Parts: sequence; C-alpha cells; structure tokens
Amino acid sequence: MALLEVRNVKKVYQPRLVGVGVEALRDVSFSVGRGEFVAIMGESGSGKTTLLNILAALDTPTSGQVLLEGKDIARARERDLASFRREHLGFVFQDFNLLDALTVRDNVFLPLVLANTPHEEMERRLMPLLKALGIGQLADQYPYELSGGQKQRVAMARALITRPSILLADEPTGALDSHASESLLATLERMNARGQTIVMVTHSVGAASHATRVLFLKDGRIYRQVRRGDHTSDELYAAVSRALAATVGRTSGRGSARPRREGPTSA
Amino acid sequence: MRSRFLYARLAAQSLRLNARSYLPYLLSCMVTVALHYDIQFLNMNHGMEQLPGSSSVHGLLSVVVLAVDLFSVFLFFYTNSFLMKRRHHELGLYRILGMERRHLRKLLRREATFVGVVAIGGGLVLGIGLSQLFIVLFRAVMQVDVPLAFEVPRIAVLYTVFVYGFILLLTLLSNLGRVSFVRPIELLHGTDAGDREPRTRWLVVALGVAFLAAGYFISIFTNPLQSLGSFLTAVLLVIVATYCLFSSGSIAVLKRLRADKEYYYQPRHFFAVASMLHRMRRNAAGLATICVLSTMVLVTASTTLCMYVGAVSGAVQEGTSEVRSLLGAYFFVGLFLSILFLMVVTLIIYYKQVSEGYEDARSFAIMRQVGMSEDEVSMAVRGQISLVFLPPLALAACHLLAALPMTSKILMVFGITDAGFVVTCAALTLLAYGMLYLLVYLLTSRIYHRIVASADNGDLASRRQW
Repeated sequence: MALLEVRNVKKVYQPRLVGVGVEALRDVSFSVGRGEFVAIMGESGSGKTTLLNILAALDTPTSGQVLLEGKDIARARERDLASFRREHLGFVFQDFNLLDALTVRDNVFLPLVLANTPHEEMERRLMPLLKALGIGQLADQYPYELSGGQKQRVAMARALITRPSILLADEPTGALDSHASESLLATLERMNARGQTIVMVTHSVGAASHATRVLFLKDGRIYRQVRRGDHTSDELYAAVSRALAATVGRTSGRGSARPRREGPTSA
Repeated sequence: MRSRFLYARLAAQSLRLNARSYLPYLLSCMVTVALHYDIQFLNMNHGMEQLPGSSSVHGLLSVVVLAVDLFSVFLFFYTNSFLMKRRHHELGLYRILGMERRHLRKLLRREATFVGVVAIGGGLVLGIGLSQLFIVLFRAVMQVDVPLAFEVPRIAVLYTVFVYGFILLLTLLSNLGRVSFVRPIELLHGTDAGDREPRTRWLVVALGVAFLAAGYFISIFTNPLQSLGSFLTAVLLVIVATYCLFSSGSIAVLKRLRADKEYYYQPRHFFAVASMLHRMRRNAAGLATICVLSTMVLVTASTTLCMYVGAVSGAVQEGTSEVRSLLGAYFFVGLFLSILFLMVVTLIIYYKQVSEGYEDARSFAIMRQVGMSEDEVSMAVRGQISLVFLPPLALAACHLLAALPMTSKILMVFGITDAGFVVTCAALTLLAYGMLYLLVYLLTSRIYHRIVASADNGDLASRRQW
C-alpha cells in the first residue's frame, strides 16, 4: 500500500457571503510510495500551496480523501490532528519559520517538547541529526546569527527529529541563493537515499530535478508526471523543462486538458 | 482643496483601523484630564475658603496636582510611543507610496488635533460631571458642612486645557521628530530580529537586594514623623530596588528555570520561559512600573480605607475640626490617586498584552504548524501570561507588608492606634486589589489569546510578502 494516497481531492474557496466559489483544486489524485522523493511543480495560483496545506492537515478538502498510512487525515478531529501532524509529518517552509527566542537546539526540540518526550531522548537524537545535516557546531546559536542556508538546515532538523513518515517541503530553496540551494537539495537527496520519504512543492525546475518523480499541477489538476528512473539529475532537468514548455503551449484549452501519463502513476 | 480632505480622511481611517490601540489611549487621556480638572475644581472652589484648615488642604491639593501633571507626562509619552511603534510599518508604507516627510507630518498633526479635541473636550465634560459627585463625596467624608457650590471655575478649565494641550503638543513634537527616522527600507526588514540573549548582571541583582533590605529596614525601624526624609528615602530605595530586581534578578531567575531541564522542556513552560527571557530587557521597566504602581495603589488605598473606617466608626474622636478636614482631604486624595494608579496599571497591562500578542502571533502560528493543538496553545498562553503578571503583584504585596510599620505610625497621628485594625485594612485592600488585578489580567489575556489565535498560515504568508 502507498504511504500517502490522495483521492479525488477538490477544494473550493467559498466567498463569505454570496458569489461563485473559486476552485483551487479540481480533482487531484496521486499517491506517494515509501522512500519516494516527489516534487510537485506548478506556478503561482496553480493550487500547489492549497494542496500542500491539505497534505499537512492544515486545511481540509471540500471533497475527496487524503490517506496517510491508511488514516484519512481530511476527516480527523482537530485534537487528533495536532498530535498526528507532530508524529507523522515534518515541515520545511520557504522562510524557515524558526522561533527567534529559541536557540538552534531548542528550535529543533520544539516538536518533541510538544510531544512530552523525555529530555534524555531528545538529547540522544539531537547531535547525530545535526551532524548529518552539517550544523553540528551551531546547537547553541540563535537564528539571527545564522545564514539562510543554515536556518533551513535547522528547520530540516526540526522536521526530521520526530522521525516523520513524510517530510513536506514548501519551496524550501525559495529564500536561498543558488549555492545554498544546491547544497540543501543535495542534503534532501541524501536524506531520501537514507529512506526518508519527501514531498516537495516548488516552481523551480532546478529544485524539482533532484526528485525521483515530478508531478505537474496546473489549474487545480495534476497535469502530467515525469519519472527520474535511471536518469541523472541533469537529464531530469531537461525532461522537466520540456514538459513545462509543452504545458505552456496548451494553456488556453482548459476543457481539453487531460492528465497525460508518461509512466505508471505509482508502484 | 482635495488634499485637505485626503489628510483628514487618512487620519480618520488610521485612527479607526488602530482603534484597539487608540481607544484605550483616548479613554485614559480623558480620565486623566477629568481627574485633573476635578482636583482643580476643588482647589479653586469658593466654598473651600470657609473650610477649617483650608490652607493645609490647599497645600495638599496643589502638591497632588503637580504630581498628577508629572505623571501624565510619563503616561502620555509611554502610551504614545507604544502607538507610534506599532504604526512604523504604516508610515513606512506611506513613504513607499510616495508621501514626503512633510505629508506624514501633516497627517500626524491632523491626528493630534483630533486626539487633543476629543481627549481634552471629552475629559472636561466628564470632569464637570464628576465634580458634582465629588462634592457629595467630599461633604460626606469631611463631615463638615461646607457650602461647596456646583460651579465651573473658568481658571480650572483654562489650567486643564493649557496643561494637557502642552503635554499633547510635546508628544506631537516627539512624533514629528520620529518621522525623520522612518525609512522605507526599514519596512523590508523584520522587526524582531536580533534581541540578543541578556546577560545576568549580578552586581545589579546584589544592589537590588541591598536597596530593598535598606528600604525595608528604614520602614520597620524608624519613625517617619520624626523625619520626612527617611520616609522618602525608604520609598526611593524600594522603587530603585524594584527596577534592579526586575531588570536583572528576573533574568537570573529565568536562566535558572531554563537550566532545569525537567521544568523547562514542558509544553507549558518551554515557550513562556524562552520568550520572556528573550525580551526581558525591554520588558523589565514595564513590569517594574506595574509593581511600583501596584504598591502605590495598595499603600494609598489601605491607608485611606483605615482613615475612612476609623472616622466613620468614631475611632477618631478627639480630633479637632481641622484634623477632621485634613483627614477628609487625605481620604479624597487617596481615593483619587488609587483610581489614577489603577487606571495606569490597567493601561500598561493592556498595552503589554496587545503588543506581546502581535509579537507572539507568528510564533504560535509556527508552533501550530509543528503540531500544537488549540488546547495546548491555550495552555501555553496561560503559562506565558501568568509568568509575566504574577511576579509584580507578589512583590507589590511584599512591599505593602514592609510598609505597614511606617503607615501605622502615620495613622497614629489621626488617632488610629489599633495595629490589628491597620493590618485588617491592608489585608482587605490586598484582597480587593488582587481580585481587580486578576480581572484585568483575565480580560486582557483574552485579547492576547484572540490575537494569537487569529494568527494562522495567513500571518506567515503575509510576512513573506514583506
């Protein structure tokens, strides 16, 4: 069974009083297997942030199901969701979202503190993770003392310390320069190679080309997908670029836009 | 022609949008103006001349007026600077949209005019209404039949308008000066970066403890009636000690709490301790002020209560009519100052909650994303707020206890010799004040909670756009 299964998810933003709702997601279905690194690509307004918020259980779909390890997170209660989010999901955001008042150590500890983890256990997990991310020497610094790339690694450490089933990343390189971006993406790939399942939303071809599979989101639908297979990251980059160029050519005919598959959807 | 309306409209709009901050400011200005007018009204009332011992009452009221004026300067500047800090973004945005500094100054002048007219005009109306009430109160308390007439002494009105017009003019001038510092580029940077972790200054902690001990010692072992100087010294020492303890002692305590891993790494303490430590340097003065003012309310109100109950129950029997009228004046002044201090404490707490709410909104949005449930948010908020507001009250209660020996010696002058009675008055006052403080704290923490709870992904997203 797939780790994450998204079935016919639809999201309509209804205006508060009267009027026609805006369809952010029309009918999105896909699944993510254990150990995959999936990139979801789309431009602003394609619905990718809405989709990520739904995957993160921060927003609920108008209809459809989101099954994570067989549990429908779209229909869970708020109280259960918080702990579910804490235990099964890790988040990395574009602008890091670190707490200024906490040291790197305490920022990383945050989800464990919320889960009432014993202090010894927190310490036991900390240093190996920080070292794996290349920020072992920063544990007692404050966020304002760090560079953007370092902050994003701290955010990754915070996301991974709970050993989540899925790491959700929202434009993780959006606020980084190209050097820091490359280095962070390499780290993501390394984490993925160690078995971490990752779902990343991005509009950058460069970022997407590090994934094992790229889904294209457009006008609230999954439009197409490209698999990396045995190709290198550079070859995937070219394939993703081609796919995007083809997409741009057929923007206007909304009705005729049908998902075209370039490979099996999932294992 | 049109631009004149434009500024008026912009001014009106920004006052409306900032109502949550401006309304308490306007109200407190009005109440201060009203109380100032009322003291002036009493002081200048023709009936006062016929009062036995009127010269000492006059003297007392004049001193109080001066104290209130000085206090108003502090109060107006404190709240005004709070308001202006919150509006830094807005003014920066106007600059980006192409307004020049002189346009901003024009906008600020329009706003100040509006605030001035409402605060002083409304305050005078309120004060004139209240003065009638005060006549009744004054008569009842003085127990002397004074022909205090309902009148509106022109000089009291003019004096009030002049004093508060001047104070508001000063705040306007400081705002106009501030405009020079609004640079559009500042808008692009975050506001809360770079509060370094404060160091514990042990010397200041030691000084605080020493001053506190000295102040308490004077209060317990000397007689204030023999030297007014020692009384004032004790008050001053305790005030300085309070500021020392809140600025440095608090940091020492918080660091101790943070070092205790079992305590610190709990959902309810974690964020509270860290964020409080993070902004302690900015917060110390506010908390110390809350403590000092609370002490003043407690000491003034308990002494006043003692006098009043003593007078009513006939404990003060051999007093001449002069002592009685002085007693009445003290009661009146005590009541007046208690109201004023209480109002200021409420205002400071309110502004603290609002500003910290906005500061913490982003943090709570992040914690919610990381997996904090609404219940846990509420719990953390409670932990946070009680850590901030209980210490000032506790220290104020401690000060009150230490002040008892001194106040009971003063009360003896008025024929109140029963020490147990003085202690009972203090305990009752503490109880009443504690309940009032708790009420303010609960109401304002609801505002804090609402601000924090309304923050969601939208807040994080909108920050991104900046």
